[in-house]
Amino acid sequence: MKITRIFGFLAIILFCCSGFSAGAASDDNEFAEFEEDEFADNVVVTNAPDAKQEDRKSVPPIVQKDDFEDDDFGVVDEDESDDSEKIKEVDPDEPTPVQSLKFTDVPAHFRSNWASYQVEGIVVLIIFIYLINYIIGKTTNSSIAHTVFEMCRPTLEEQFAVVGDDGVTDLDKLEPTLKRDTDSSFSAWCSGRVNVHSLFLQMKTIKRQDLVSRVLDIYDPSSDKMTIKVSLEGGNDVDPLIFAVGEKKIAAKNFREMFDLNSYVSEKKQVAQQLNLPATWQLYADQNEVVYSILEPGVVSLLRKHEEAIEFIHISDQYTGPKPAEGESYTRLPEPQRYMFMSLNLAKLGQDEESAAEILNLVFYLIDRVKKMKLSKDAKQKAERKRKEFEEAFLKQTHAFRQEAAQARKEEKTRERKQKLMDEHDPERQRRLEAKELKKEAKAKQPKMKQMKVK
Amino acid sequence: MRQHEKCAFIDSVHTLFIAFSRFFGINYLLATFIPLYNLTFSVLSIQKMQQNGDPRRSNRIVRFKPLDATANQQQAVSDDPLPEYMNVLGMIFSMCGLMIRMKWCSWLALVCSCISFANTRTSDDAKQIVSSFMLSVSAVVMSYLQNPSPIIPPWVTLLQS
Repeated sequence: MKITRIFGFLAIILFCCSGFSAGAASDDNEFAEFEEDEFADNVVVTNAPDAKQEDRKSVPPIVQKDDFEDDDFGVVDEDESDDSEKIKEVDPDEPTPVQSLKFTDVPAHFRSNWASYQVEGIVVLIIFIYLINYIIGKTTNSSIAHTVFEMCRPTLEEQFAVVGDDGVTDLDKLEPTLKRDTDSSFSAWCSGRVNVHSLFLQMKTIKRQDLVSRVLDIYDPSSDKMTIKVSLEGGNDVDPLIFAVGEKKIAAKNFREMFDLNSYVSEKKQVAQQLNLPATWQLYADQNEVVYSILEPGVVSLLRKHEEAIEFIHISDQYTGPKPAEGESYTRLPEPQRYMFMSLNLAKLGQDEESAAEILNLVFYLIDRVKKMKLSKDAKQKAERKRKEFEEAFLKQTHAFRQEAAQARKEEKTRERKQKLMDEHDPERQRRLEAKELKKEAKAKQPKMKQMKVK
Repeated sequence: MRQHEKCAFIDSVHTLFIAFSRFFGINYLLATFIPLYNLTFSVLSIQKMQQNGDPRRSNRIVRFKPLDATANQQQAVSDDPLPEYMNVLGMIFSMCGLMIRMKWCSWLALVCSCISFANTRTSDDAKQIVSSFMLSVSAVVMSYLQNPSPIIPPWVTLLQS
């Protein structure tokens, strides 16, 4: 019994000892990471500031350890002793295997390899050429437009009270100048003349400032153009007319695209031959009499004289702009306006001042002529009948569209009413609404004619 | 004969001629007489065109109205849509340059901005052009900051093969 008691007592003591030692070890580990830092902190390297002295004495840097500041009070940790052992193990004389260094792909600096930036150089050069071309093209376009405007200006000033209006400056301070819309398009607004509301002169040159457009222009050549858009004065005393004459290509293009030309006029080949118009020109009009009234001999001779400068003339009392795109159509006929268009070749026009003045005078003559023109009674009636017929045909054509739109509106209304009925919470009210709805439907189903009772 | 007398004479002859032609049938008469009529009166008619009293009327001035912005913009775009296309293209290329680090895209964006600038309208907002340039330049700068290696030109691979 005694022996067992002794063994039991020993076992308890051993157990307690092992528990204590384990706790102590854990305590040490808790501060392990701090100890290292503190150790490093406490190491004071006393390097003499004077480097010469150091060399002379060749004393290695003294490493002092401040014992008083050490929390461990000289107790060396197991970790530290392990480290020192490891250091001791490494023999400095033993040759270590040489490892070749691996260089990562670091691109060389800009300055050292400019020659490899070939593509960038080309792009910068292209941009540089583009900008130089922009400056040259811009000034060329501007000078062309201003030269022609200066040629036209005396004639315009003779005819209009205001030339080159910008809509902002006071009329007293206004100077006749050309307005720049883009670097290749310029315009001038003139107003204050008999028979005319306004004259809008627009010059569109080749896009000389844009190198890309110039390259494209090689494949599809175009020329500098000037368009004159005149808003004519209307009234009851002015006779109806639609008339177009010009170079075959341009005239045919306009005939296809313009709504009024497409709807009312037909080609007058015979009349064009009779009037001795240039062979490359085409003539369109709604009536022969209109042609005879406008293309007087003087006008024809002027047209022949400036055959190259004048591209197209279009006079209309039913101008509504270009035809709507395919698949689209007007739901309502647009309000027609009286307009006169003239398209001119800027290069030919700007050759000499005299021809520019003559062409502009022709424009003003035509304006006055259209105002004064008197058609015969038959021709006038015929023109009015034609316009009326066209309007009726248009209404008939759009009837189906309008009917569809009306049907859609009706359906939408019915749907809304039904939705309202469904949303109603009050049953009494809902019933009333339902009855109303049923009554409406019954009424809609009833034939619209009066029913006679047969006795 | 003074100028206005000359013109009155031409007018009366012309009216008479038209009246006759209407009476006898237009086409026949005009076809017969037009060459003769042309010769006789063409010169006089041109002179007539150049004369007239002062046609200017300061009380009938219609001021220039710049169309409202949206309509004007629509018309301008339908006339020449190139700047709009170039703006969009420039934006797409800049985005490609910035996001996918394609250097040639950044350069193309810069070229597109230049074309858009050359075709810009005076009515257009200058901010748009400035922002387009800023975006394309930043695409170029960012792509070269990220990786300053040059674009490998296509002729290098051709020469090597």
